[in-house]
Amino acid sequence: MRASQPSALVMKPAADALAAVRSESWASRLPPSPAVAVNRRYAGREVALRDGDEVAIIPPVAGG
Amino acid sequence: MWAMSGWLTDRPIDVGQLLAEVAWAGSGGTVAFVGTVRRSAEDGDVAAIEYSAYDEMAEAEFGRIVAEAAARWPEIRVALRHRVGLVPLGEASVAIVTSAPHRADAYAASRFLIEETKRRAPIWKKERFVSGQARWVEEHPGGA
Repeated sequence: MRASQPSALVMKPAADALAAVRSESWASRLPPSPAVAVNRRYAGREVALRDGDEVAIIPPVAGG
Repeated sequence: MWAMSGWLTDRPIDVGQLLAEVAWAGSGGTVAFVGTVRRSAEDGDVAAIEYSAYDEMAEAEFGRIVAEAAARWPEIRVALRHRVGLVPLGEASVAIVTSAPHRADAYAASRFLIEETKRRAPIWKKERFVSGQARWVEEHPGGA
């Protein structure tokens, strides 16, 4: 999911991105507070997003 | 420290190659950890595990994990591969090879690398059973 606004800077926290997808059908299978990554790095929910940022919701991992 | 990039592979892991990548004249001890697909009583009749990854972030996160290990144990060398796609029973899903002048550092770095991989790498696994059924495995919350 990419943040997209006409202005250069979107001062919305990543938590808003999470809230925006909560109504999706697949979101009910996520834990209450899933991990979030911004630009391929784990980030806290309060981090501000900029235009073009890549935001990912990371379900519980099982690598290794 | 010298390490390869390109941590993900969709091919069988060649542990011999990883051993060669970390070999150098100053290495006194080399440790190889190999994670393999297994069958257990509680897991059932597993035929294979299908691994999937958020590829770009997994590569970046492995880079960070290896850099952290290099900062803690400055004389180690590391080779690491995580397989994605279908990994049959008995085959390696991940291999981590560390070398160091002294074996204590090779062991400690090896342990650190696998534990951090399991805790942080954006990789998921789906068990595929002999019956044809499949089940996602949920393990760690993820996060930094």
